[in-house]
Amino acid sequence: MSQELNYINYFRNIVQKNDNYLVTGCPGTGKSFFLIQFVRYLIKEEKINPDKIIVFTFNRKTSRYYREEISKVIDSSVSEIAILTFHSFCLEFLSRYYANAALKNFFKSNFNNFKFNEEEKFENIFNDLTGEIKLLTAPQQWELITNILNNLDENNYFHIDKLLRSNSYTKVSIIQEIFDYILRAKENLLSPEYLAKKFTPYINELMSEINNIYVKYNDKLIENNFYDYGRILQETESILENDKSALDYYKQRYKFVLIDDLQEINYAESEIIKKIANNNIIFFGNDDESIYAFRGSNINNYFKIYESLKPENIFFLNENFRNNYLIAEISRMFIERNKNRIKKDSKSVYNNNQVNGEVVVTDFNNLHEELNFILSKIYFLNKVKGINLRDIAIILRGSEFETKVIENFLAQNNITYYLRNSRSIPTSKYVKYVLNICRLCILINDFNNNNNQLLSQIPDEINNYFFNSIDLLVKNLLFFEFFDIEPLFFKEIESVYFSDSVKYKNIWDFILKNLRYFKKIDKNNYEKLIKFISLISKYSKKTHISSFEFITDLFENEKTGFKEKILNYNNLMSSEKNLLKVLNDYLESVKNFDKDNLMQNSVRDYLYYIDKLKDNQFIEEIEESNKDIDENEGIRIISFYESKNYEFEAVFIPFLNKGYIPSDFYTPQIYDSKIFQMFLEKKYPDDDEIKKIHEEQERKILYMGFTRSKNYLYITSNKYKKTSSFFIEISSDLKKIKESFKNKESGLLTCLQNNDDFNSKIIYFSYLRNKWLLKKKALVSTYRITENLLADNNKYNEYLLYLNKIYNFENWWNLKDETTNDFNPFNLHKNYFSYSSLESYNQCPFKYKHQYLFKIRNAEEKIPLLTGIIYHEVIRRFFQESSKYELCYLLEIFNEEIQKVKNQFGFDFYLKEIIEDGIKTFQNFYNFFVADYFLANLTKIRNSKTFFCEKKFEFEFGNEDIITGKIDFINIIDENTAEIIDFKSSQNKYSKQDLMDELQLKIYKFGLKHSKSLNHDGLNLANKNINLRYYFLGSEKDPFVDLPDEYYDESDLILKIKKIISNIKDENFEIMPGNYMSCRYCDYKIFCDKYYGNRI
Amino acid sequence: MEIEFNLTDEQKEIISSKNEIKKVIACAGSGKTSILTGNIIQILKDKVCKPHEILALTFTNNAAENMRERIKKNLYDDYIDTDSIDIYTFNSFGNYIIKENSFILGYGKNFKLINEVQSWQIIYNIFKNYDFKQLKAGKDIGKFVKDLLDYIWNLKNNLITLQNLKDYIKNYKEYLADYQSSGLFREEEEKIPYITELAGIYDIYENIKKKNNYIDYADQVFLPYFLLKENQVIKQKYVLKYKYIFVDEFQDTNNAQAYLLSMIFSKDKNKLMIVGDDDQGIYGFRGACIENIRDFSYFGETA
Repeated sequence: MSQELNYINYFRNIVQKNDNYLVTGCPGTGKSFFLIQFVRYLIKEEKINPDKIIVFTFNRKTSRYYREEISKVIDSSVSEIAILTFHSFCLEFLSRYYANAALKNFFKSNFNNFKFNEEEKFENIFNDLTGEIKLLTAPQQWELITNILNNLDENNYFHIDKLLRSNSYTKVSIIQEIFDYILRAKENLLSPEYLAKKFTPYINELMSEINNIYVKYNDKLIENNFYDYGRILQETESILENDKSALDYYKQRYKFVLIDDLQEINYAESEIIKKIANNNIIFFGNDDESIYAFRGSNINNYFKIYESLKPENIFFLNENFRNNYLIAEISRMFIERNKNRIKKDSKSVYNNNQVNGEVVVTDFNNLHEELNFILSKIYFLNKVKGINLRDIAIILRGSEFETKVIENFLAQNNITYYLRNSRSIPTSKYVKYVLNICRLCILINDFNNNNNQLLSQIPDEINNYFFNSIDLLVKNLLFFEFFDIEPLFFKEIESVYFSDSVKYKNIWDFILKNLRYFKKIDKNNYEKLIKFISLISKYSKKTHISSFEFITDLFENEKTGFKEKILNYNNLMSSEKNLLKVLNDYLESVKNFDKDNLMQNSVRDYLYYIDKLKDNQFIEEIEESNKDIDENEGIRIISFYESKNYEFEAVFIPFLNKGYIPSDFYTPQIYDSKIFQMFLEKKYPDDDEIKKIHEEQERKILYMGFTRSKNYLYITSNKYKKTSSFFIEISSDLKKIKESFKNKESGLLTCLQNNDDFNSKIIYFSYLRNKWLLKKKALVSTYRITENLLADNNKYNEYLLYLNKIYNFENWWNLKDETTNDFNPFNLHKNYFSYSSLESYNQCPFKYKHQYLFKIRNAEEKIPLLTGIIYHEVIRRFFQESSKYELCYLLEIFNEEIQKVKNQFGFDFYLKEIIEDGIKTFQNFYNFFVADYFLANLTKIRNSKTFFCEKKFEFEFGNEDIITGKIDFINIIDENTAEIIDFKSSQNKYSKQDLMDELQLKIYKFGLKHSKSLNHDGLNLANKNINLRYYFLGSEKDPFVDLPDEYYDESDLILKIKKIISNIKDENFEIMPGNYMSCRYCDYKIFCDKYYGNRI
Repeated sequence: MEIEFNLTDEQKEIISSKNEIKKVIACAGSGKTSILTGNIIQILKDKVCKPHEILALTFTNNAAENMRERIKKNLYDDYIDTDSIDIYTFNSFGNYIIKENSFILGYGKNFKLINEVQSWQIIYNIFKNYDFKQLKAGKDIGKFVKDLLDYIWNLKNNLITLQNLKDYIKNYKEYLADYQSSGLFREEEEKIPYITELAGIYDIYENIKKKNNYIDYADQVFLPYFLLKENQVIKQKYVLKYKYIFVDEFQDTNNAQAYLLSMIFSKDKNKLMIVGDDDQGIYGFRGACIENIRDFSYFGETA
C-alpha cells in the first residue's frame, strides 16, 4: 500500500492537468500496478464515471488480467470500463459506424412511410442493417490467398509460379511470406501503390509480383465484403480521418484513455490513438521491452510519442520491486549495450546485503553436462529452498529441437512440467498414432471399395507428420509400442512381400492373403498381428460415422491399447499425467470439430481438415487456445514471448549458443518489418543498419527473459556449439559486478558462483536415472539387503517401465533405415568379431542380439560397478608400471583406482564392500600369483622380456573375418613353453563340462598360433607349447585351474567359430534354452520370454 | 598463448603492395596464412575499408575460427568490430548466399541441409529399387553406394549439371570428335551405357531432393554459382559488398569453388588476394584441382 501512496501525487497531477502522460520504467517497477491503482483512484476517489475510461491492451490475455485485477481493487464488477485490444475496439467501432450510417440512410429514405407501431418489423430491419462484420480468421485469409494464387496467370507471375510448382514446402513458405507481407503492410498503412514506388532500389521481379497479389487480395476483400485485421485498422483510421462527426463523438466519449504496452504499438494503431483522444492519454510502456517487432510493432512510434510529451509529464518509475539487486543490475548492464534507447535508472528495492537468490552464468563442455546442471539446480530449488515447481521457468526460443530436448529430459527424470506449446498436441506420438489409425482405416476402406480416386485427395506428407501409403502406415503402426511387433519378424514379412510384390497391391493385401504362413514363423507375434488386423478391418468399415464417435471409440477399444496402457494405468508417473491432459485436450478439439461441422464430420472430413490445417501451418487451431498457464502444475517451459507479463522465482535460460540468440542475420529477401519501418522514416534500408536493428531486437528478447526472474537466474551455454556473443557480454558484466564487490564485505559474492559447488550427489542420481541397468542393479542390491527377496513380477514391471522410458522402442536401430548410425554409415557388413562377442553368442544368441545389435550395452562398460574392471586395471598397472613386485605397491595401486571411481558408486555400502573384498583378494593374489608363481618363474629366464599383460591381438579367420581380443597375461616359461592366463574375478571354479565348452582360452591359443601382430613383437609363439590356465581371483585356495591340452581341438574350434559367425550373419538369434545359473546373472533377462514368460 | 606477428621483410612487401590481385605461392610453413591475416589486420588498421566489407574464405571451419581469433587479438585495442568480418568456408559462404536468396532459387524458407550420411541414405534407397543393367554392386554395398554418391558430387564439383550430362550422352560423338586416338575414343564410347545408368541415378537423386526441399553438401557451392551467373543484379550486390576478398589454401579449391570465387570478384570493383602452395594439395579427395592456382587466367591478370 505504501507503493500506492507514492503514486498519489502523480494521480492528482494527471487528473488536475489536462495533458498527455507517459509512465515508464524498467520491468518490475510496477507499471501495471500503477495502471490498476490509477483506475481505482479515478473511480473511488475522483468518482469518475467508469464509462469514461478506456484501457487499450496489447492482447486478450492482458485485458483479462486487468479486468480481474481492477475488479479486485474496486470490489465490484468492471463491465463498464472498456478494457480491450485495438482489434476489438476497431471491430466495435466499425460495426457501430456502419449500423449508424445504415440507419441514417434508412430513416432518410423511409421516414415518411415508416409506421412506429410496427415494432417487430423494425427490429428485423434493424438487425438486417447492423449485420455483423465478416471477419476472416487466419486460416480463412490463408485460403483466400491460396485461391488467388491458384488462379494466377503463369506468364505474368513467373517467379511465384516457379515457387508454387516446386514442392509443398516451398509452396507453404511463399504463401506464408505473402500473408505476412500483406498484413504488415496494412498495419503500417502502406498501400500497394506506395510500396511499388518505394521498393524500386530493392526491387526484383518477385517483389513486384507479390505486390500485385496484395492488390488482388484487397480487391477480393472488397468484392466479398470480407474484413481482415489489416482492413479493420485501415478503415477505422480512414473514417476517423474523413468523417468529422464520428471523430467528434469519440473525442467526447472518453475522458481518460489508458494505453498499456505502448512499445508494441504499430503505425496504424498510433494514428488511431492520436485521433480519438483529445487529451488525457496516459501511456504505459518501456522501449526496452518491445519484442513483438515480428508482429508489426514499431518502436519508432514510441519514440515519436515520447518526444511529443512535455518532459515533466514523463514519469520514470525507479524502484524495481521484482528483481533482486543482482538480477536488476545484470539486466541493466546488459540492455545498456543497446544504443537506440531511452536511458532509465532503476534500483532494486531489496537491499544488496539481503540477497536471497543467486545468479549463475556458466558454460559447459556439452549438452549433457548442461542438462545435468539444470536438473541439479531444479532439485536444489525445489527440495532445499522449497520453491514450488510452478515458480520455476525454463525460457526457450520456440525452436522445436531445444524444446524437445528439455521436454524429454524432464520426463526422463520424472519432473512435472507444463508446456504451453502450440505443437504439443499434434506432435504427441499418441495423437499421431490415432491419426495414423484413422488414415489407414480410410485408405483401406478406399482400397476395399476399389476407390482409388479418393486416395489422391489427401495431400502429400509435410514434415513427416503423417504417412500416406498403406505400406508405411502398417509398418509404423505395428512398430508402435502398443502393438510392439518384433522387428525381425516384420522384416521377414517384408522380405517375402518385396520379393513377391507384383502380385499384391500393398502390404495389407499381402498380409491378409498369407496369414497362415506367418503363424509358422512366430506364434507370439502372429497373435499381435491378428489383433492389429481385426482392429483395422473393424474400423475400416466404420469410416462413415462421426469423427468424435470414431475416435472416442478408438480410445475405448481394448485392441488399440489405450485403455490398458494409459487410461487405466494407476501407477502413472507424474510426468505422464501431462500426457492424459494432452489426450483430453485432443479429444476436446475433436469434439469441437464435430460440433462445428455437423453436416461434414466423418473421419474422412476430419482428416481432410487436419491436413488443411497442417498445410496452413495453423496447427494451433487444433488446440483450445484459451487455457490458462496458471492452472497447471509443474515447471513452466515457455518461450520468450510467452513470458511477457509473468514473473517467476527462478528462471533458466539454457542453450545460449551461437545462432540461437542472437539468431544469424541474413538480409531479408521479401519483406521485413525493419524495412517497412524504414520506409515510414523515408529512408532506404541499408544492410548494415538492418543488421544493427536485428541485434538490438534480439538483445531485448533476452532482456525480457532475464527480468522475469525474482531471485534465481541461471544462464547456461555449451562450448560444443560455441557460445553466443551475448553470453560473453553477460559473463564480462558479471565479472565487473564481482570486482565491485571485492572491497566490500558482502553476502552477494556467494550468490555469484561457478558450477563447481553444487551438490554432486544430485548429479549422480540424475546420471543413474539415465542408465537403467545401473538403476536396476542399485535397486536390486538395496532390495536384497533390506528384504532378502528374489526378483518378482512386480519388480519386473517396474524395470520394464524404466526400460520403456529410456530405450524407447521407436529408437531401436532396426526400426529405422540402415544409416542411423552417423558415425559409421557405410559398414553394412561387419567383419570384425571380438572374442567376447563370440563368447556372448555362444552363451546365448538372444543376449548377443541385444548386446551387439541393439547396442544396449552392459553398464560395466562405462562405470566399473563390478569389481572385474578395477581388478584388471590394477593388475595391468602393477606389472607394467613398476619393476618392484611388492604387496604394498599392489595395494597402493588398488587404492588409487578405487579413489578414481569412488564417486560413481553412489551407495556407500558398495564402496566398503568392494574395498574389503579387494584387499583380501590382492593379498591372496600376491601370495599365490606374484610370489609363488610369477617371481618363481621370472628367475628362470632373465635375458628377455618374459611376460605380457593385457596383450591385444587380432587374426584373420577365413577369408574375410577378423577376430580381435585381449589376453590378460602371457608368461613365457622357457624356450619351448608359454602359458596363457586369464583372470576371473569370481570365486566359482568351472566344472569339467564348462572347461570343454569354453571358447575363450582356446581362441586365445588359436590366435597366438596364427596372429601376425603378436608374432611381430618377437614372441614367436607359433612353435611353442602353450599351456592354458585360469586364475580365480576370488578363490582362497588353489586359484589356478588348468585347461588340459586334450580339450583343445583345433578343427573342432574352427567349426564352432565358423558356425557362430555364419549364424550372426544370418541374423539367427534364438534364445538359448535355460542354463539357469548363467541366466540368473544375465543383464538381458528382462527382455527374455523364456525367463519371464511373454512380454506384456 | 600469445601469437606474435613478426613479419619478414619479404612478407611485409607483399602486404604493402597495392595490386588488384595478389597471389602468394609459397611452400609449407613459410607463413602464408600469417601473411593473409596480417594483410587483413593491416587493412583494418589503416581504415581502408569497414570490417564488413572484407570476405575471407578458408578451407575448414577450424581455420576460420583460428583466423578470427588471431585478428581479434591483434585488433583488440583498435575498437574495431572484428565479429562483423565475414570469415567463411566455401560451403558456409555458399550457404549464406542460398539463405539470402532462397526464394529466387525456388527453395522458399523451409529448405533443409542434409549431411553426407543422409545423402548416402537417399542413394541407398534409390539403389534398392533401381534396376541395374551395367553397374555391378559387388560385395560391399555400402562402398558401392558411396561410390555412386561420390560420382554425383564429383559432377557437381565440376559444375556439370544433369542437363550437361544428358547432353553428353546424347551427343558424345561430337564431344569426342577431337580425340585423335581411336583407342581412347572406343574406351570412352564403351563407358556411355554406364554413364547413362549413373545419369539415371543422378536424375532420381535430384528429384528426391527437389521434392523434399533438400540441399546437399555439393549444392552449397553449385547453386550459388549458377545463381550469380544467371542473375546479374544479385551478382553485383555481392561484388559491391566485398571490397577485399582473401582466399586461404587456394590449392585445395575445386573447380566449383574457384568459379564461385570468380563470380564475386570483379576487376575494378574489388581486390583479391589468394594464398596457396602448389605442392601441398593434401585435400585432393575433394576434387581440388591444382590447375586453379597456376591458371588464374579466368580471374583476369596474374600478379
